[in-house]
Amino acid sequence: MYYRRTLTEAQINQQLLGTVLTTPLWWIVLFSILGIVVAGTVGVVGWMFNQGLGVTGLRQPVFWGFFITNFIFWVGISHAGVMISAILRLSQAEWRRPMVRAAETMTVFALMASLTMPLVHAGRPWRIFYWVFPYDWARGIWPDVRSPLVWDPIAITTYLTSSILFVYTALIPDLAIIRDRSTGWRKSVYGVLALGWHGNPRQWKIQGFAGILLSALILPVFVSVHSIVSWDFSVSLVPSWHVTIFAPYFVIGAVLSGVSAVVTLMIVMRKLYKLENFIWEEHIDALARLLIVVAMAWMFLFWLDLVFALWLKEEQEITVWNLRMFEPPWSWLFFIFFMFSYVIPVSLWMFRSVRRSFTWMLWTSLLVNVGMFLERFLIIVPALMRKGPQTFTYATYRPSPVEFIIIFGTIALVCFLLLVFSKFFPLIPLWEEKEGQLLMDEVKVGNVYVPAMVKEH
Amino acid sequence: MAHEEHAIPQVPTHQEVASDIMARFQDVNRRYWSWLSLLALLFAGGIVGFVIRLSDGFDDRSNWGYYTATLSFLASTFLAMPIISAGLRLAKANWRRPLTRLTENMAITGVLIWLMLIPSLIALPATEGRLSVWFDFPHWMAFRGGNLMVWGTVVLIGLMLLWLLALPDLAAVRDHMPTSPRGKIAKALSFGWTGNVRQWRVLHSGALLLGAFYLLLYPTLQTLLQADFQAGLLPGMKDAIAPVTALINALQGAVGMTLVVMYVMRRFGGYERYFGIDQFWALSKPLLAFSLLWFYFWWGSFITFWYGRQPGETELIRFIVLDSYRYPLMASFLLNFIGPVVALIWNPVRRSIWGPTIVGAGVLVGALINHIRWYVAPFSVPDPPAGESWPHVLQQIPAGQLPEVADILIIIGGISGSVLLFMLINKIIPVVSMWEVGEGLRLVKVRRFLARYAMVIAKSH
Amino acid sequence: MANTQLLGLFEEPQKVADAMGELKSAGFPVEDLDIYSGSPFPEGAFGEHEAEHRLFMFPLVGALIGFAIGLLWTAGTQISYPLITGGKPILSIPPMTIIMYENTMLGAILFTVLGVLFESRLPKRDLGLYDERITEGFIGLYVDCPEERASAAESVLASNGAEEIKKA
Repeated sequence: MYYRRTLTEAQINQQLLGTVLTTPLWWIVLFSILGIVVAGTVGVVGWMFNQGLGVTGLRQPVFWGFFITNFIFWVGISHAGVMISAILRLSQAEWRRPMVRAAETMTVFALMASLTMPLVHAGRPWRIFYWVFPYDWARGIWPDVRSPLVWDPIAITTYLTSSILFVYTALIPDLAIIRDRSTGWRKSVYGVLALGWHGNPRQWKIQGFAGILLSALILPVFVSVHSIVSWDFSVSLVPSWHVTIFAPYFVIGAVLSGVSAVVTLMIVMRKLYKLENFIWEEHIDALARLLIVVAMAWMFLFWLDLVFALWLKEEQEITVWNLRMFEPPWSWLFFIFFMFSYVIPVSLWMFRSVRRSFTWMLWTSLLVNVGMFLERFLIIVPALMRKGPQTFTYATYRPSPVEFIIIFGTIALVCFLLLVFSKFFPLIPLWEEKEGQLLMDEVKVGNVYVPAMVKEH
Repeated sequence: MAHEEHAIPQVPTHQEVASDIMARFQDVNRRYWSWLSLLALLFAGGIVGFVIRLSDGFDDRSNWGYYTATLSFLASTFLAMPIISAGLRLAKANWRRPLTRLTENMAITGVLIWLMLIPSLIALPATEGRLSVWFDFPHWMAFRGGNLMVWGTVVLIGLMLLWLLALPDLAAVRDHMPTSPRGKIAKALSFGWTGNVRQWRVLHSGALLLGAFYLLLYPTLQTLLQADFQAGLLPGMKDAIAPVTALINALQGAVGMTLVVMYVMRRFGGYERYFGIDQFWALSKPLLAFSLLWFYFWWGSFITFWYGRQPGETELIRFIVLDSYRYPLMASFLLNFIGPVVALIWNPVRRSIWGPTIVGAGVLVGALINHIRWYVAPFSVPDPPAGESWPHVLQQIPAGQLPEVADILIIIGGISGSVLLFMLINKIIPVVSMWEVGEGLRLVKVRRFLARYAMVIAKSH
Repeated sequence: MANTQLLGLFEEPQKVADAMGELKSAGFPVEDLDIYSGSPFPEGAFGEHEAEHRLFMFPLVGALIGFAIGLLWTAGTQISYPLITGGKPILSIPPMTIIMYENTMLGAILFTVLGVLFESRLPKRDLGLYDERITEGFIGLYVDCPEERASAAESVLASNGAEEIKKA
């Protein structure tokens, strides 16, 4: 990693606390626009609840459509936070510093967005509480732990709780910085949140250990969450779903979409918050290299899924794959998915100039996520559309405008929450940046100075 | 002053290290010859076992189960070791430098492994009337040609990687021992290496490229191993995750083997200063990760089959999980998952020489047992009656098969033969890379940092 | 006799290390000296007292509690309403494993965070002797000493270039 600029602690505070200590006009404009979109989406959801799920495109036999696709999509995006933060923290990768906080925060908000989807999909969400509580207490009927649908809320709640605690623990030193820079009631609030942090060696030591320990603990949770989501599918007997590879395939796909989302977020943040001193070409380059590896691993698993699906030569299995790959309009979607999430971006990322271009990386990372949304859609819908023994029609699924609005609404929701978060907390960890600068050094080899880091022995 | 509490780290010079490694390389003592003789004897025993199996013929496939399990064990430990070198080089891990050559030298075992593949391929049944990942490819081209080609390419890339990265050290051997036979071999292999700027640049880029090829191709080898030697012989086996499971197990095995070999080189070869606590500590972390993943991938298959409850699935679970191969699974479960996880979650265990070594040795024993479960079981499934297609459900569950004398000879002989090749190559190419360690030393400086001393490590490239 | 607390504020880390060394030579116990900084320095950088902690025990305790809750919950609900679903046994271990695993991890993580707070000695209601410039690059050297030694400590802080010395 090539550190080019040296900033003082005061300069880092000033540059990274810009939107926390003041409120720029663009923030108010963006807040209003996104707020209106989110409010509108809530209205549409309310209308749908009032009218019933008939206003969606869900018809027999396709009862899982855009909402469940979107649920998996956001759980997938949420995998970025831990992937970046925990793995890079454990491997002590220096280039992690500017991106960990934003990635972890995105995890939290993406998970929140994903949790809304099963509720929306239920059509009568209040009944969920009715199903769960009165029955249990009154008649002793408990949720059946043998059903994978019970595993999901447990796994996601665990992951959400862990992610929030992960974000908060690493935020404490920064809260102390804001406490010391603010006045009035804000000082009191940040003072409470900072818990009386002094920054003595004991606290820093524990903070360092906490980063490693929580990373090590949250990693197995991160792997389990999307695996459990995948088992919703694979423990059923639906052709093309009942496959053993779904768990790692979902996890790697989630990492691909999540890390791509981090790239998008970093580039947008850099532009909006003027973070040129912190987010460099080298960071995006490092992420792109990581993405190449992840994309290739994902493609290997996709290929295994396909080969092993076909090799038993079961008719229903072949029908679903045939539908996905060769029958329009699914074949068109399949083509777009394949090109967007693998062929185009991976080919482009092979070039150093693309990896170091913010514009190219913005668009390729967005392409990946369009492709990955389609990937989830193609896993779900064609598999349900097949004409099975109990199914009388080939009824197709066409998402209605209501579903489109709700999908875009969740994107607006995550952006909105990130925007609100950035008003109160810095998106780049100040203390990690300062530590990075402190440990930065150079070693002279011959006539050149090679960038180096101080390592504790 | 406060800095007295922290010792000043010592960094040796390149010359010091190079002459030390060269001295150890030149030393061929009695102990070396004794070990070599013992391994040669055991390898000869393996050949005897192989001849016994050959005399039994290929009609009864169950005779070749343990042989194939040995083959896959070797391919999933020794042959997986160059991945460690390639992966750590791509990740630019500085601590890799003393141990990369050791893992690259293991590529030489690929020659034996490739030769061992041939009888296993002959033992496989024809594709007609049964399922195979080769679908309707002609039998000879698919199974035999395809496997020989893929395995051969992996072996070849491994050897090329070894040769390329050994060029500077071969040149050093050439210059230090000009008159000895080893010096002459080194001269021939070093291709007139002088170490100019152009050569170094090509070496660095070539190593990354060959390493990447190895990383990309090795999973294909594991896929074929699982598909042709396991899934293709087990009716109802629709387990897409199996190649990845095998790959992860191979990585676990490779790390385990590296730890054990490092320990042996420390204990008997005098390489303590190269295979130090940094290397053991650093390798113990991926070992812990692979041990957790061992369970994850096994579970991924199991939970799907257990919930599916289709006839093919329940029979398979009975065969390789609950009944016939229950004890091998339990042993592997203990040695590849529970044991490593319980031991390696403790930092004092990870940060020791003995901890990772014992766990690594356990992992290798577990891996061998698991490979027996994976390959002896499918090889014991009888062919359907002549003229009938292979069923989709296991018709009857064969009992677990214990090894015979010939099988034990083959297992010991196969492992001994591989170690024998490794010991031989170590006397042609130094087992610690002089140039890579030297390069690392140039990138490390000791600096005063306030009241203490600290190491400053530069990242090359 | 009551103790006096001093906080010397420095701009240069080297001066803090020097002052620390001098205070220790002058017989001030290292346990009574502390450093406040806005970013983490490598351990022992100032020659300070190295903190002992038992953070690693917390996740273990949490994991055990989480596992126990998971076991009771999954086994208890199945036994209390013994309905066979999908032909699976009443006590189905594979699905129980998944829930117990999640609970174990949740317990471990919750307790780790509690451990972080406990071992960091947080929360603290009162910041005590502190300066807001610490989070802007200044380094505070905190001395807790008997009243009669306060002037000696103060002179060490001053002679090593403290920008300001606060007293409490």
